[in-house]
Amino acid sequence: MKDIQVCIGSVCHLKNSYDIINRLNELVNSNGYNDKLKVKAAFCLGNCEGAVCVKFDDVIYTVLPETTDKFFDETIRSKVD
Amino acid sequence: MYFIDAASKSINKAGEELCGDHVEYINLVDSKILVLSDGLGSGVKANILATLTSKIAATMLKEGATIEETVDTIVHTLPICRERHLAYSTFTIIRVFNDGRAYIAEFDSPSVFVVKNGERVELKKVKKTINNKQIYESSFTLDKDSLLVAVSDGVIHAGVGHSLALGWQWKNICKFLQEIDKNAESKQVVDAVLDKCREYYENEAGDDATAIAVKIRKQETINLFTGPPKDPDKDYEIIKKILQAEGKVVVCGGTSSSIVARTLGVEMEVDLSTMTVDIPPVGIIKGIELVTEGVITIGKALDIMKDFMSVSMHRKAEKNMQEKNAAAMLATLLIERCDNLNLWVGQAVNPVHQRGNYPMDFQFKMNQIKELASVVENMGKKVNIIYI
Repeated sequence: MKDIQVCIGSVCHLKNSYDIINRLNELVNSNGYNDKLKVKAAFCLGNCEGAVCVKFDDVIYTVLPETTDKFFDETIRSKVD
Repeated sequence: MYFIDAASKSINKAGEELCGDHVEYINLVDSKILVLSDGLGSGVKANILATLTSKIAATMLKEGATIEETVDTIVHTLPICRERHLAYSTFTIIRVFNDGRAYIAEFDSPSVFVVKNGERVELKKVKKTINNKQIYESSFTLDKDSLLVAVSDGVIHAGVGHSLALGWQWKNICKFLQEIDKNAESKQVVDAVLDKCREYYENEAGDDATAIAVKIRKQETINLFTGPPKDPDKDYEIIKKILQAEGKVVVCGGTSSSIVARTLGVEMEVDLSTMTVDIPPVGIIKGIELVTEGVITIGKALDIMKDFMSVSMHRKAEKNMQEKNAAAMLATLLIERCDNLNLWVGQAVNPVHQRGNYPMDFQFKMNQIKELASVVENMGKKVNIIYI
């Protein structure tokens, strides 16, 4: 089981981390990754510069609502399949 | 010194939009004054009479007027009802000091209830005639096991014409109060009384019904830590100091909570079920009363607290406080479970917040804390700001 941590600190919240959490949850469910991935929220990941911060496998990525699907396909999928 | 835990609630007569009972609260440094007034009739007219009476009484007593002067002013101010040729409104004045002393003045209202450890306490009342009106005064001392309740006659008569031929009646209400859990807060007592009223009235109240409950308890302190300290080298030292301070600890801020978790050597979990579109979810750190994001959550909590203090928005605030989100929890904690608030305000500046496109820069945060301090002070609580 791997965690996808989405920052919900002030800056990330204002950049719609709420939508990203919900979209990632949808993607995990629709791809049947429920036993492999867990979407979690995290308080400030320390890189407000790159909001919204998403941490996966100890790397912090910058994800926006419009790039969530692409991030999931390119970064997450290859590491769980 | 005690905290005076006072609560009140009303239900309106069926079909009426306005309540003919009114409760006025005044918070003073050494005491709280509550005035319950029941205006003649129902609807608009009763509402105006009750509001005027309780506001005049509360304001005059606050300014140090005697009970004689207060009653005299009320009698000469109330407008006269055209149908009944009367200007009339009952009242119960309760003043409780934070050392537990209580003063009560009653005019034509149902006698107050005092219950201690499940037993009824009888009050010695002194009759005073002011402007041909009989006022009953009593003085006694509340302790942490005592409960003081005042109701309007709509509670005494609950059920008349519905489930109970003679209504609920004073002695039965007293029994009901004697059986209430002695650890219940005032708000729970008031809710229990009015729920029972609704049940007896079968949700068709025949009269406005109001209950006030007052208890005293030991004062509670909250240490609210928000914003990382200016000097990161001192994080550990300062957090230790906050954690060792008397009272509960609340942390508001993403970085701030990470620092606390690190100092305690624990992992922080986030409770996603509390996440809403507007408000980031709460975090969970063992030993910390509440963990939230900073500036957005405090802003939303401030909105609730300001509504809570406003007459027209109070109900909306009460509803919002029931919700399961970080701002509602923070507001509820500060409103209901805080007498002394220590604000530990970090002075570190997040460079990303200072860019032009981010609306909540350092200055915004500092102003928000000042506003929080003043709102909490207006609720009659003590606030202490410590810049770190």
